[in-house]
Amino acid sequence: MDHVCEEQVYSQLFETHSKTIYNYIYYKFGNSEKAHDTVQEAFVRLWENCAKVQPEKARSFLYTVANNLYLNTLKAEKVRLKYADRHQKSMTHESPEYLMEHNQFQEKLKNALNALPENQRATFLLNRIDGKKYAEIAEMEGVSVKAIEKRMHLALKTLREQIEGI
Amino acid sequence: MEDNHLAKWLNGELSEEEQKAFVASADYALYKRIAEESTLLRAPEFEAEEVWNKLQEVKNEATDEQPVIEMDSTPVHWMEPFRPFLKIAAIIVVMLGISYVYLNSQATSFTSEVAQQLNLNLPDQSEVVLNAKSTLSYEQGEWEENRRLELEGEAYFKVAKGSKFTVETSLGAIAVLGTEFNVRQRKGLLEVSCFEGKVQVQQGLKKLVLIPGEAVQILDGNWEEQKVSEGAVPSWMSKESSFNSVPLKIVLNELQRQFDVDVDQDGVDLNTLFSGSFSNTDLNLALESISIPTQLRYTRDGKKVLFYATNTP
Repeated sequence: MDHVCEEQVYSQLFETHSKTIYNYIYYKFGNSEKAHDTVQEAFVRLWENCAKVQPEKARSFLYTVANNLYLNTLKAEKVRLKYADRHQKSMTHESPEYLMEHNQFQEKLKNALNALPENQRATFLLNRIDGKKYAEIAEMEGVSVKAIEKRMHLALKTLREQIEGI
Repeated sequence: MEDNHLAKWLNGELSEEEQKAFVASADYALYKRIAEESTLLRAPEFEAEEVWNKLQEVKNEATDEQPVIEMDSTPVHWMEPFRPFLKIAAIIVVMLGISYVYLNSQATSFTSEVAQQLNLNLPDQSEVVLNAKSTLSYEQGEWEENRRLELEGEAYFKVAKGSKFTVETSLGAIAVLGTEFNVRQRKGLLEVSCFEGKVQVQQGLKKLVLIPGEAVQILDGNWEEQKVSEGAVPSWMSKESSFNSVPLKIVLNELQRQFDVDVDQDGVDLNTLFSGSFSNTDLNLALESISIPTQLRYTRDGKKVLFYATNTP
């Protein structure tokens, strides 16, 4: 039977989940260093408990640990997001006016994202950037799918209002 | 429409009617744009390899801590005839040990001369370019477990991915993962620019993490965040020395590093802040670049350069 203590299972879990956990913590708190530390700590705990955790429970174990780790220690900072490269390249042939308007919009979007409550921001970006399903985000956050839908709705609504208002 | 319709819309769960009504609404275009644009954002890069390597270290430490098995305590006596031989053997072993440690703890050191740039490859294939009159050293033996360098002067680093890599200067330490960055250390001045990856600058208890395009200038303990062009290289690598609000004395010292000249001054306020750059290849041009914005005059006599204030008789 597969066992988390087995090197192969463990490294597979790392490959599958480490980046999402990192993004998740980063979207919330905007601190890349702490997000790295959190991933490391979560996986250390998983290793220490590898005999007790079933592989299919490993994911929720990791998220629970990651959640508990930051809950009391981290304070939200400004989230510094970059645009993906492919996007930048496709832009090069546009007119200066278009580019300027576009850059302004991107700036507004980033600011509006920063102004969101951290739960809404993390939920929204996990869905938009990482393509996570509402059910999966619900599992990460330990809340119902309905609650996640509510957050998505509010996040998008607030973003629109912010961007229009500026 | 129910209250979560935006979430449903993003998930393609709206009924045909709801969808139509939503598309027709005034806010639809902006919602669509936000939904699309946001997919193009990215968090700073996740250094998976780095975290994975650290995990391996932690795991190995845990395995080492297993209880020590008690040895049988029956005393063992060497037979007499071997005694003198063993003593000598022991001495040789100790000496070999010392010389091994000695050879391994020897610092490897590189120094560039005035007007010289030095290209170096470190044992892990990281690349370093030393600017003029700079020294870089590291402990060969410790390199594997501890990529730690000491820098005096200025250097550009292109670090191979791997374990932590630290550059120590008399004014602070710079800790990095795989990345490209520049360190300029002068009297009272430390400047670090990040071109790729992520760099942490530490002076005393204060720390700052730089991302590409960011730089920090620490002038006599005052931290000022600055900008550099992302993906570029420091200007000195293209034979130009650049400064951003730096006291003139540091600029004139730099001139002495880049050219084989002695710089003297008369009545010049050396604490005036200078922003700009000068050529590292053409001395006359360099002198003009410094004197014009500062409204100083200069005379040059062979290897001697004298700067003086305009109003000095």
